Amino acid sequence: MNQIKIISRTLLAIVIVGGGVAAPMGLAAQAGPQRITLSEAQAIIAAAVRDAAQNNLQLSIAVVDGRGDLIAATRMQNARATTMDTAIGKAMGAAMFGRPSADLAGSAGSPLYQNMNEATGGRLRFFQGALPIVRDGYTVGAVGASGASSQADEDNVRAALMEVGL
Amino acid sequence: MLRGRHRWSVLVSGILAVVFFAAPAAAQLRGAPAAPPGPSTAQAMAALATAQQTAEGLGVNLSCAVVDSRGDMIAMARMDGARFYTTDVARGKARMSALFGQPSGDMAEFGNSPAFQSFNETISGPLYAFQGALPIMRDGELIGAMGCSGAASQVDEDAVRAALAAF
Repeated sequence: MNQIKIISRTLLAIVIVGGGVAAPMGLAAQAGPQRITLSEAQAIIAAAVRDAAQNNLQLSIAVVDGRGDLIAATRMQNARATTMDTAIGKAMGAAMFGRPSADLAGSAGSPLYQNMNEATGGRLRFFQGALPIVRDGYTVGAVGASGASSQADEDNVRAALMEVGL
Repeated sequence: MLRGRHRWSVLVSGILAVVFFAAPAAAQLRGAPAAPPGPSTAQAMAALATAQQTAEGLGVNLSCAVVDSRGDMIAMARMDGARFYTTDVARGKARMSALFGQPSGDMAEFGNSPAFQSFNETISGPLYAFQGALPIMRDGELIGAMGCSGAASQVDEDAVRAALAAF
């Protein structure tokens, strides 16, 4: 009886461990979407700065990755110092929720959004002015701008993404 | 009575003066543009590019930040492969250097003191008293700081020093 127990338990263990190893291997075969590189982020920022200069705006522009972590940011010469953190906070929200930051404004006070904000150390800004970057159906990052009206901020981001083909 | 009337006329003319002089001020509520920060945006971008070249030459991946004398960020870049939190550390070191006008590496002892802990809480933003950021001076005046993070702290500081020529 003892031998049968040991054999059956060993077989069970093999099945469990084998399944545990095989499942991640199957997942690993899927290639994820290409991440946003620093040079892509800098190209987006350069396009945004050109567009802002054409429209006589002084903005800060930030590009974050799909997790909402900062990749690159620039504050234009006469943009106010505080616009930098607003641009970053808007981009973070757009990346973390995979939606334009304007869509988040109405829910800013909800417990979920407040908890998310606390988890980032209070950096999120739920205002219009940031758009997610979607590649192969996945959110791979976001761009946020701040310094003008929130509609002008968003228009600037859209123009920059169009110019670099994202 | 005359004195009383006189008082009223003074009061009325005072109100009129406030209305006429305050109106233009209210029209300017949006405010004049912010004063130009110390390091220009173009200089900050050039410094980031130099730091990146230095890092590539050394085979390391860094995040670097340029801040003004108030510690507010002007430009930032995280190289592909640099860990996500290096952006915060680079910015925090640069801020430390800007707020105290000295290399962040000279402040390790202060960084362990209770005074630093309370200062860090008051200033409500991460400060890092580690090596890797240097102040930016112009004509003997502090105008900002630059910090890098992602490699050994001496390498971080070397990348910053190589980039300071941009200012």
